[in-house]
Amino acid sequence: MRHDDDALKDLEAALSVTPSPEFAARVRAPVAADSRATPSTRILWWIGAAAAATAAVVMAVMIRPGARHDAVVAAIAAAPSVAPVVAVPPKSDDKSQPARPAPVRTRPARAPRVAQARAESMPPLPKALVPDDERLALNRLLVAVREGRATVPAHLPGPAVDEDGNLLAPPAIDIPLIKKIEPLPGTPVDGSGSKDQ
Amino acid sequence: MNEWVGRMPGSLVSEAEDLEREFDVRLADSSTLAFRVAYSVLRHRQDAEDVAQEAFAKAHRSFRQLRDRERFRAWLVRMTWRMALDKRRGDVRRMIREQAPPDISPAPSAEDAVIAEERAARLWRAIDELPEKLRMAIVLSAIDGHDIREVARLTSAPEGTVKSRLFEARKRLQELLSCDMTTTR
Repeated sequence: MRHDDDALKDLEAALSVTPSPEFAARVRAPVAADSRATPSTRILWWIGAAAAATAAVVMAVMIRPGARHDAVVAAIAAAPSVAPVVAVPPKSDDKSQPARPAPVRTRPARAPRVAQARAESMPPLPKALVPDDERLALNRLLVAVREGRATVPAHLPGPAVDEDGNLLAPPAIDIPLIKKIEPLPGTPVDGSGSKDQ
Repeated sequence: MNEWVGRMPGSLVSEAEDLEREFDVRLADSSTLAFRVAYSVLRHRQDAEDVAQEAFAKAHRSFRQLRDRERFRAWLVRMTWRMALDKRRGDVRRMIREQAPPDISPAPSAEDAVIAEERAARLWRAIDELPEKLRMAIVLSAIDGHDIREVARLTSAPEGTVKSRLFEARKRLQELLSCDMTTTR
């Protein structure tokens, strides 16, 4: 009967095989080919990752809430000849005076590069007097005018005020009287010839 | 500053060169081990070389995580063992090899050669009967004279577990060989 140690010795002898001399070269060939492609692949991966990160940052800035509003405000501020309209609330202690329309103030045109900085430091618009939807519509109109997509008459008729700024009564509208139109000859007066009847 | 420069893509090339040098060292250190592990399963030189070569190619792709020597050898042994088993299960040539004698060192005379072939065939049959964990433990202990500690490192198992596996494997191997001897007589 064979001993256990003999079996283990046989196993060690059977596993003492050595690979062929070409084995090392065979292993190195695909590894070397793989390693030649690896550095450039890694560099390309880095470049791609950097581009993707940049695109993600740009997209995040573009879709940030309020970014569109900031762009509109900046565009308005950059417009050299556009004058924003600011409504001033009436004085609360002067109850005897009737409600007056808001006066219009025009700002002088500024250089665009200064306007960008001014837009950031602009005081907030009086939201209590100008609703947001109207302000947004006005902003859009101003942007459209600036971009040439809309035209505004050079002179807009304003309310008539005297030298002290008091509102004058508007001129009376002359409405001509309606003249009686005589029916054409041959037309039935009572409408009996109508097909509807 | 050096840290910043080290992160630049240009330094990836030098880092890759360092990795290649380390891999060459690991290749020279572990190529025979991988071949013998594959041979213990396949018992065919050419197939064992193919499997070991494929295992090294996979190891090269993951070498950044396998730079530690012991970790690399353990990963390589497990990968080679698994790939050899897969190849053995799916290889059609195995049917031909089962009819042919195993690839062992030739004996001096014809009679001794026949005896050696029969003995080796019995041994491999008995080893094939062992459960996989016991088989792996006893095969690794028979390669390069690995002791229990080295087998534990290669299999990522506790030394006590390896010790009990080796004891159980030798016991079962003795039983299988004794049984095989009685049936052949």
